[in-house]
Amino acid sequence: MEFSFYTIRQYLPLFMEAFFNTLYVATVSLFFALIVGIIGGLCKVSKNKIIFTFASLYVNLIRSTPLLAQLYLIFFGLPYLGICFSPFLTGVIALTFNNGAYVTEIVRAGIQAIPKGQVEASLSLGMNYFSMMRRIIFPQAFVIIIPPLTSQLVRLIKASSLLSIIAYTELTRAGDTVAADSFAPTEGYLTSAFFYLIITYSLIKLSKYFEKKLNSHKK
Amino acid sequence: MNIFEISEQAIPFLIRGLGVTVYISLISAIFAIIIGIIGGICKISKIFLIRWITIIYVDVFRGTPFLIQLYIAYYVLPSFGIRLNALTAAVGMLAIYNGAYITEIVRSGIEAIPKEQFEASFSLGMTPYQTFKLIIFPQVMRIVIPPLVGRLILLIKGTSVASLIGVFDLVKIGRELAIALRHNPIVIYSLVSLFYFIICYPLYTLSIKIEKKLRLH
Repeated sequence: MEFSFYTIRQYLPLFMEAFFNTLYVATVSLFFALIVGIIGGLCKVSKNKIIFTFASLYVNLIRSTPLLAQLYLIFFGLPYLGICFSPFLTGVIALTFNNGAYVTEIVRAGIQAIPKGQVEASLSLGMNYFSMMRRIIFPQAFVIIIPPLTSQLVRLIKASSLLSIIAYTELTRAGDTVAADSFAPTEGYLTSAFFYLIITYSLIKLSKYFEKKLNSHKK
Repeated sequence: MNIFEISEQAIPFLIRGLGVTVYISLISAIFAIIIGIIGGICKISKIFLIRWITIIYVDVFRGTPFLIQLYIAYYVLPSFGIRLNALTAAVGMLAIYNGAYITEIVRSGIEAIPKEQFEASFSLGMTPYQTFKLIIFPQVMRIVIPPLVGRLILLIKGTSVASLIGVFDLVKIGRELAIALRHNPIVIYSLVSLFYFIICYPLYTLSIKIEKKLRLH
């Protein structure tokens, strides 16, 4: 069994492009998922029963169905309705909706981690809901949610590997290409795995650094 | 064709796929839990080598996408002489992949037990086996069951990825139906999602109930 580094060197430009594409689609999706998650998180702490139920329904639906099924639904369903998006956009939509549910839970937990006394104090100082959220709750919640958000980014990057089946050139697809073109699945997929490990390892180290910094002031 | 006609045609096939999904989930779950328990105990071992191997195992298998691991098991292992069929590769990799997560769950469960419990039991004359069975195990179960059920839900959803190496599970049958019968893909994939929802959502509510029950103690 021989492992050919020459093959990998041949495809290195492809892997570089795929490496950046993976990070690109993951960060773009995380950005939009954050927007969805903030809206959803606010809905889930709302006292309004209808808003709360809608948000809960969304979260439970997403969390009880696999990403692949959601991806198929969007990738094959939208063209059936006449809407044709690029693989990148389809991937972003699917990943946004999927991770938006998980970010909703993260944001909700972040908001609920703020002691209720803060809310009471703000209201007794005469702040309305919007001011309270903007000046008191959100800044604190934002710092709290950074560690779980980083691990969500790691999950997002691993989930992006499914985008290989809708022909988006990310790391898994690069491995597929090497496997198909050069009959070298070993070189292809092991290289993909290597790059994924670089990304996830760095992110986990980063997340631990943030967590330390976050907890350092608690002494 | 309207929704009901499509459903009528599709559902018998989908149920077969559901059977495969449940079958794969059960078997890989059992193995994953076994691997996880062994791994959890290994990770707190006093022997550096065992601990080190377990740490590498967990970091590698949690740090790479499951799809890549599946591709490696199915397409790369034959070069090393290990030829697995799609089903075996899927069940095996699901067990190993989720085993890494369960290792962490079990480890944090054991580490959550204060050392005093061990010391107290030993000073009362209990053997390690008795200590583990009567004191440690019930407490670990309490801590471990909620994240474990969460992991099992993710395992069930993870079986869908096995469709990409040719296992005829729920998603694969849905895809074949959508292609072969050219039906409305939205209806078919919604049915697929519905089946997953029927399995996973009750588990999810169950884990919340268990968590509430255990927290009251």
